[in-house]
Amino acid sequence: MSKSNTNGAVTFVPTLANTEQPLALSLQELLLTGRITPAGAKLHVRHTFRSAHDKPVEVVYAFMLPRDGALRRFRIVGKDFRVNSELKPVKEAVREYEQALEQGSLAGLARTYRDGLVNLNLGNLRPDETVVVWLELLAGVELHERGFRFRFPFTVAPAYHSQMRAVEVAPGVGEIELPEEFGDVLLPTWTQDAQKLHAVGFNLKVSLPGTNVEISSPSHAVRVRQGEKDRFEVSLAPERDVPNRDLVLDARSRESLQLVSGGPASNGKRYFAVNIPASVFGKVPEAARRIVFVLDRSGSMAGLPLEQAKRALLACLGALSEKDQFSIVAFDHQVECSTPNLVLADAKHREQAREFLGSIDSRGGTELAQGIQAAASILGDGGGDVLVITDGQVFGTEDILASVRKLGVRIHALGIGSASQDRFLAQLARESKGISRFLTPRERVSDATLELFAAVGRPVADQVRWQIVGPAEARIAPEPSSLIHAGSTVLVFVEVTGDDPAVLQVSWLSPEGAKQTEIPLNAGTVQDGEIIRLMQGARLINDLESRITVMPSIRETESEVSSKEEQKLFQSLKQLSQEYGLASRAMALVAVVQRTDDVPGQLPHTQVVPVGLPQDVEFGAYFRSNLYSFTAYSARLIRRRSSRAQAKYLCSALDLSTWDPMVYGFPVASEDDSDQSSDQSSEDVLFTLAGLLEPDGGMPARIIASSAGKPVTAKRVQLRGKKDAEGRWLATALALMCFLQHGHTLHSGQYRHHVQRLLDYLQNSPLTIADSRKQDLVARLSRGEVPTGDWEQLSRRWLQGEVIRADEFWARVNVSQP
Amino acid sequence: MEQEKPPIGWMSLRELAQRTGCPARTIRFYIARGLLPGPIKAGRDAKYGPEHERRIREIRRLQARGLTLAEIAFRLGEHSPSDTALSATLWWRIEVAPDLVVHLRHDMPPWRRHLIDHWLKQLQRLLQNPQEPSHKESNHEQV
Repeated sequence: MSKSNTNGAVTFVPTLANTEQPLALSLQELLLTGRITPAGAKLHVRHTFRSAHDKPVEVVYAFMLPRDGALRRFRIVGKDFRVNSELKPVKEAVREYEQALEQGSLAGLARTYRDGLVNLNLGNLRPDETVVVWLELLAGVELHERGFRFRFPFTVAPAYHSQMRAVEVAPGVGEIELPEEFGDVLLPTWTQDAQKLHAVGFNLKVSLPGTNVEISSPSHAVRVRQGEKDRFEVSLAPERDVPNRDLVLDARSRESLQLVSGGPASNGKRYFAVNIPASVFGKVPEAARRIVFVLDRSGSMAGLPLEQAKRALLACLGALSEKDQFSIVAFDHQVECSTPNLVLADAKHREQAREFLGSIDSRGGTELAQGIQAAASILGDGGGDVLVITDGQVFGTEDILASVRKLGVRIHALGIGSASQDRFLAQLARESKGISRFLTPRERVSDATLELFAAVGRPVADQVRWQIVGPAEARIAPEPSSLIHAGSTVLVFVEVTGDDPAVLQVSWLSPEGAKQTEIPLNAGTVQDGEIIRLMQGARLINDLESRITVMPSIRETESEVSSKEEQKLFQSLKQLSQEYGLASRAMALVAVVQRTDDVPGQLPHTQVVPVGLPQDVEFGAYFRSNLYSFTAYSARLIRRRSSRAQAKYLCSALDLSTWDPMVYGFPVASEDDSDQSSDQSSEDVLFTLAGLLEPDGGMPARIIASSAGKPVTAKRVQLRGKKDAEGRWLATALALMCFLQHGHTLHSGQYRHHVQRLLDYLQNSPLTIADSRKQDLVARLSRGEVPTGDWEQLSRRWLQGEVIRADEFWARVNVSQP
Repeated sequence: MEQEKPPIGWMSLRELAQRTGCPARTIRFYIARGLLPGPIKAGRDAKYGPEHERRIREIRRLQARGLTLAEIAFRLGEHSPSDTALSATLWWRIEVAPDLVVHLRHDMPPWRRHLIDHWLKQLQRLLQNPQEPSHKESNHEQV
């Protein structure tokens, strides 16, 4: 399982658990190619399989579909053959695959399970044979006002389910098994060290119209080459990479553009995708908000993700106005609230909220539905918004969506994780007319958080109505949201029959009154009708699948599903799959390669492809049993009346007298977990300052750092002496100068609202009116003039708890006087 | 030529899957993991017997109780004759108390080692302070 290298250090070598023979990897390489546009992506994934076994193998590669993703087809290519897959009802596809394996033929089967998990099976791969499987799939993108973010999962995130079974089978190697309701899905084996696993790479074409388009990746080192017009070619800069995180690509342009793409498709109809940025609908209204923050504190958030989540939440607290009402819910398998009701965002409640956040560490499972339920009861009948901050690493997402649907609250999601669960979070937000963003744990959380938060609770358009004018027959599907939030872009799919000119007519209510716009559906020179049709199909399939909580039976003697309601849903799903030619939980892809020398009856050795544990996910959070927390976890669960089913399950599993670790709990994070942040960057300092703004727009008088010498984090600082008016004035001026010096003004930068509030405080302060020196400084700052000097350095000292003396402050200001 | 009839109870992989409700791919996976023996009769007309059916039902039962496949493989392997009986085995020697030594196989799976470590610590604590209630007891009180 492990061996020593020449330096004596232990390195991981995958081995077979029973024989300790080195594991022969059957998946050698995975290469992602395709084209990404603001309407979605059409991708081709090349899987290179090669068997080093001395008998035929059946390779099972488990992967997660990207957001709004669906499989279209695959092709198996070998030395003397090339066979395309066919789309068939699941039971039929499985039967065909099994018969082929009995006959000794090479066969492929791609089958979708719950949560967007896919098992790609390749059976009867012969010794030393190399076979390539080209898989074609569709995927959506996360749309922003000025571009989009694309994510592709190169690994699967281990996730939580109350009845899952997790175990460390070899040092640094973990397995998860799901209960029977998930069907016969096989999950990959997770390895802490992904270096010895298959190679991953990508070569993608990215299109985004606009000027000064920038393509970047927070996850991988990329090489970007500009091609014709608005097209870019993006590839992995190093020769190879490892499967331990998603590929994340950002495409941003300087301006927000309304786009129409599409044209005729293979069925004779015309298909269009219309991207409409929120700015088309109007400006963000200033209105008091009612908001509950829901923070995921589960074991899987341990370390960097939780630290990032808390930083994001502190920034949101800083951006709340005095009229806003808020509360915080922290959940794992239990729920804790900062306040039982919404409270005004005044000084007292903000400080209480910061103290509450300071006490939050990672532990336990991820009972997301219960967290949202608690938030809904805090909001009560008065309505409002819920902002969930989570890694979204849960199985059984359809069950969560079903329970959340009943609550009828508007949910926004900020996802933090290096492996993709944005498919689920996008659905969660979309279904409740909210918006979502998904970040990697290592990127700056400030921009996305503040952008998202600025939009929450203040929609730019309500009661939006969509219709097509012109052709006799046309439809918009899926139905776009009737509520538009700032910072986002709405994507509308239109299907038109006939050649008559078509216009998309949009009407809505904004704070200024009723408005309307018309968008002619004329595609540009690129005719993408067929691709738009497929992307529309993928979205419709995803939306329908999110409502189905069961897996169809593949037993010959049983019907697919038992209840009439489920039968109806599966029938609709089958029809959608057939109409668009896309796989779903009802229809699978199968291909058989009959070779002249096939030997029937040989049993292939079934092997599941291992993947890397996602970067920044702690192995122990899932796989390293800690019996102390396990027993405590069980005891807590059992005491809770709301978890009777789980408690029953755990009670039946708790058999301590036989010393069997039947269910693993999540270890409580060590105290050192929160100290993983490295030295603070300038952005971190600004972020911390933003989080400390008082409701009146000023800063607190003094900061006392609880751990001298350690990097400043918002969690560690404590506030003292808020009644010291002079100290508050100085701290506020210092913070304002720090923001201005870093280019955040009244009109630009993500901290512009903070700058406005800091300046308002200084301008309205009686101390400014009484002191000409202060008046001069405030006047200069209001013009955007900052006295020269290292205000960040002084801010850092202040954040570390050092008292900044007035004479030192003014001496620095005066030195820089013109 | 008339084909020889297989003994009563022998079945194909498809029949075994039908009888147990366990998909054929899952049965192959169990065999690859060492949870099930290979077919009784391999080759063109591979056959499986009642022992396969019994084992699959046992695996399903233990899974329903919350055991992982790794644990089930360990448990099912307990009573089968060791195929490494003649090979040398390394053991860890752990002194729990001055008068008590425990030997653990060096190659035991990590999950089992975590568990045994936990209970050895409990035992050590109990031996040092016989009056102190054990962790397990206190948790049972909570439950």
